[in-house]
Amino acid sequence: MSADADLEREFEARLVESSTLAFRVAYGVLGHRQDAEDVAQEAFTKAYRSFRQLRDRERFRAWLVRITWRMAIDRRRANIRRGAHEAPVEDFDPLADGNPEKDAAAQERSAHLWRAIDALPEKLRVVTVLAAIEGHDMMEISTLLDVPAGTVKWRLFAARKALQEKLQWLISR
Amino acid sequence: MADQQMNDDVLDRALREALDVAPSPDFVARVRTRIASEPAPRGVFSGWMLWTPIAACATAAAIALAVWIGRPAPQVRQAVPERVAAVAPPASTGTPTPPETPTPPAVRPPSPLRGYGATGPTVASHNEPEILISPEESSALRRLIARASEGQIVVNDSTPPASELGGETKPLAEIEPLKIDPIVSVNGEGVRQ
Repeated sequence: MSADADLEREFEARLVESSTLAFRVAYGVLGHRQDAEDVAQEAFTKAYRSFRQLRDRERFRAWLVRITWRMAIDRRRANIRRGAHEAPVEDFDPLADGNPEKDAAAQERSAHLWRAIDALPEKLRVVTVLAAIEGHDMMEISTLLDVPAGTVKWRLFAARKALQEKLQWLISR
Repeated sequence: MADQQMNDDVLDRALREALDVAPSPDFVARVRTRIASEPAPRGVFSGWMLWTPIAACATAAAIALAVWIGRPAPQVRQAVPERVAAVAPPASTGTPTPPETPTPPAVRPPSPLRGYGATGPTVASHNEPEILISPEESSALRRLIARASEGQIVVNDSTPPASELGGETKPLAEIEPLKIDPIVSVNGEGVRQ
């Protein structure tokens, strides 16, 4: 009984520290807040079911990122099959500042950015998203994805190159 | 080079801003509620994952035991005592009993597949004794023994042999020895017959 209580407390601590990470990973795939919260919630539920089997608890964040990423990809494919969320950008735009003209421009920039991110292959997109959230460096991304750091570096380079080609007009402003 | 660095910085900033979103304030609370409806996390060998194989093994063992107990015991060749009982004289009641009608033993027709490599059923041959005496001969022997025991047949070996009855043996007819005349030659030649 005590072991179960300890397990519950430990998972609660992991939930508090990793909730934003899981949400952002899902958001980086889906571009939709509600879908991202649903996927992150399901990812935490799945992680909870198998939490006792996780031998190295220090690798919880990496484990959670991979679970969330896979579930978000599945949700995105299901959305595409249903024809929903064809445009990943929703009404929420972090670049909006209240000015209608600026908001419209920010909305347009955000839409172009998301389309460029969506056009990336999955392996390039995941390193791009992880590099953009929570200030992850190359070694942290390597740990989270369990791939060599050199691979992460090459994928980041290829992703940046592809994004710059697509967003040249945005960067040159 | 400087332009490239500036481009990277602009792109990184745009990406950070695009992904700088936070979940709704009640997100963690909803996750807690969702998890609370889940059963407590268990180990690999707990719950049904532990008890299902144990129950399956116990059921299999019980079935095997039941089959083993219900199996017929190996039959000892009981046909021999039956034969002895059949040959044994019946209880003397003073009245002559009719001769028994022999019941022919159930002899299975020989299988054409019997032999090396035959796949036909051969279990019955292990349970029946080999037939060494024909049924007629066996029946006759039983009748003979039964009647001898009842005194209907006197088996007396006191008849003396013919040599002990005395007297000389005389031939039934006397046969004279055969005589053959010698051949007489005429004029130096044999007799033409």
